[in-house]
Amino acid sequence: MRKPGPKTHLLVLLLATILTILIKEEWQVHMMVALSVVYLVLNHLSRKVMPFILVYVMSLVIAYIMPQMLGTMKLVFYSFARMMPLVMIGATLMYSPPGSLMCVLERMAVPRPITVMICVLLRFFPVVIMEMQAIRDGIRARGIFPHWYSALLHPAMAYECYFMPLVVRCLKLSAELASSAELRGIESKCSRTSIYPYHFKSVDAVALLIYIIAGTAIYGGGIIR
Amino acid sequence: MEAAVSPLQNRWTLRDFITLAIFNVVMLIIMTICPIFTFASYLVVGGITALLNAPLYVVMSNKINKRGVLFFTSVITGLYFIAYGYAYFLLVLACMGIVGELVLWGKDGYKNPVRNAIAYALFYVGYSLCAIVPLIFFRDAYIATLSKSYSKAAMDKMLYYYSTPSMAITMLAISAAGGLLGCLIGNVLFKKHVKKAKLA
Repeated sequence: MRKPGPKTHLLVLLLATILTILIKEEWQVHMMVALSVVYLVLNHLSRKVMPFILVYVMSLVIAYIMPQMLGTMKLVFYSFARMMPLVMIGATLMYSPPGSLMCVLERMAVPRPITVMICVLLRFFPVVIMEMQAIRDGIRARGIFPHWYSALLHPAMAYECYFMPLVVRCLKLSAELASSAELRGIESKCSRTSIYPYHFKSVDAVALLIYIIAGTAIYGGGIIR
Repeated sequence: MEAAVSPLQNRWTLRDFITLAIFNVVMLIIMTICPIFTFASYLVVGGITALLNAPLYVVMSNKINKRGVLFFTSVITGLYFIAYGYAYFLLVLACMGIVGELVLWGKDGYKNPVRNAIAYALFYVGYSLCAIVPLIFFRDAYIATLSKSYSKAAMDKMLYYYSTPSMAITMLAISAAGGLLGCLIGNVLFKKHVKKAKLA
């Protein structure tokens, strides 16, 4: 069976964002997570479901057991749990081929710079987190901060040792990515084509309809209660 | 009088957009982690976030050096917080982004460390204002949302910080100071490492 395309993912993400803002009750968030699980399975991403559910449950548990003195951090975990349906729908975009996403956005008359920015923002979160971990490992390997409290004893040095490699890595990444994109003709004025199917077909309509009906039911349930 | 910036000089290239997006990803990750500093005090979160993000902002703004860097950063940050369900962040941050751009108006605004620092500090004042604005305009709905994740005592403590004028002003002042100090450190690091290596 053909999977829904990036255009459907974008529309579903928009609907999910509106729903996330509108819903108030906790059970509605649980239902939205369940709906997102169905959407991921529809997109042949069943293997990705379990980690998302685990993160969702852990965020809720941490927000629940976290001491009150941690203040807004508690709110961050709670908000992160609330955001999980969006992350799950966003994952379908992250696992879509960038070429098909760019093609769809271009056909929706989104300016090319915005298209490129959306693709970079969507795909670079895991890359940047990996870079941060690599810097931390590098610092440990060189024995600059041998103990966990060493960074606390020399905060200025820790600041410089951590942020400068990060800044330089970001500069290198942006230069490499821009050169690669230019080499692949990103600035070409020709209309973009894609080897991946991106037209709105019946499977997209069905997926969208299911999401609208279920989303309306979740929102309506909150009003009735 | 300052010379006008030519449209060609101010035209954004795809390279600039990519640089902006990558640096913003890092800044958003730091923004997400920083609320952990509430264990020290609610007052310092904005200031510490500004301090930590400043070197990234200084390098990004000097590298791109085109009108709109701060405004686009504000909009991206606002859109990120919409995903958390806080739609008003976008409005507040976009307004502060416009004010910041007005501070940076003219030739090489981003290359001027003082104007750049003031605009950046204003952006973080806006970031801290995001916690106060909903309490002014839709207090009841906001409190109802927060009450789901806070106990009564913690809620009272938080409201004390966010709705007492003296505390709110102190918080905004700490955010502005964090932004200014961060830019000062960021400029030192920029000259010491990035400029010397001719990376920007």
